[in-house]
Amino acid sequence: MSTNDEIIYYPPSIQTNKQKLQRAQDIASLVLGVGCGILTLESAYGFVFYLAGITLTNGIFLTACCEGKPEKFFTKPKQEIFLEGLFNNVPGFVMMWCLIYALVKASS
Amino acid sequence: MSTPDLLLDPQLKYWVLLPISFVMVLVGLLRSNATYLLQPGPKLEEFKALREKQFLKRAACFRQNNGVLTKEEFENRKQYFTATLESNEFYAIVEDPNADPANPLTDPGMNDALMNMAKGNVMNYIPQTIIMAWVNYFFAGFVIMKLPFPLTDGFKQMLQTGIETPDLNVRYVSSISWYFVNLFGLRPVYSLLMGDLAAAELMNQQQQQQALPNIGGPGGPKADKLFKAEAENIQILTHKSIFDGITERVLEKYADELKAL
Repeated sequence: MSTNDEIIYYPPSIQTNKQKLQRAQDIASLVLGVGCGILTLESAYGFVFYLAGITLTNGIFLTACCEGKPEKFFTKPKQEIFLEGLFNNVPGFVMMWCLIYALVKASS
Repeated sequence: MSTPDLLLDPQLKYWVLLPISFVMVLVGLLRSNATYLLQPGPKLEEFKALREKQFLKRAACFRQNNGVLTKEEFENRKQYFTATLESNEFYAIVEDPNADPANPLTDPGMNDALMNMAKGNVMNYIPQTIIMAWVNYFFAGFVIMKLPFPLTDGFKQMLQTGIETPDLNVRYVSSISWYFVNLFGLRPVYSLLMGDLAAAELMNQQQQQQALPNIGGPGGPKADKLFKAEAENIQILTHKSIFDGITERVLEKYADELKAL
């Protein structure tokens, strides 16, 4: 390989890939919230549960959807897959957690 | 903490929690559909304005991809583009250089853009304000839920409005906090409900439209400046074909395999 080879990305495709990742993370954060509520986890345990769950989801996405080669589908794979989704999806998770927690607590 | 749990009426969840979420989801869907309907369709552009933009784009494409041309072709095109960019052949409006600059506030295109921006903002804020007022008025004055995580006392003012119990743990909150949790947390629900395929298509279209430079529009630079700049860029281009020294590069690339043979 000569040194002046550079990878050219097609922005709309990158955008579509990001949307697919976002969709997986949306579903994951809601499901994790429901799970957390059903288990009636409180404070730090809940957030640890979320952290573990979303990282697991990202890992599965990385191996199943990206075939283990995320640099083919994302411009900054590590940051885009593992970091950005981590904080953007917290509100959704907290909402489901609060709702299910309140439902489970009130009926027990 | 050894304080006993506050006993909350189980009926609260059916009559407060779920209705608030339900209403917020429905209003969100309604709003997105309404903004979609209110969006003005793409306007027909005057052919001269469009021609101006596309000519500029063509010049930029030539500048970026000149490597695929042979020396002769390159020189021809370079001459043509510099000459045409410096003449006023492709200008949409040939302006009188002595005329005063137009007042941007009286420009009809500017007004349109402002109107659209205002419409978008109004569509965003009015429903939220209405729901917040409704929640505040309708479900005021009682504790509806216990949050699963502790908060600092700073949130007491905001999350326990209407509850006159100074020593109550901050984890017990009133309806307004459920509203806030929903406000931030419903985005994934919306995106799953509405299906992102339609949204993705819309985004792609917008991106393609934005690819053309905004000349003479509100806030955009004037055409003659852009044309001059592009002409200068093309003037200083030096031709370097992708075929220059291709033999060496191919040999270098496959050198290892050649050695192995």
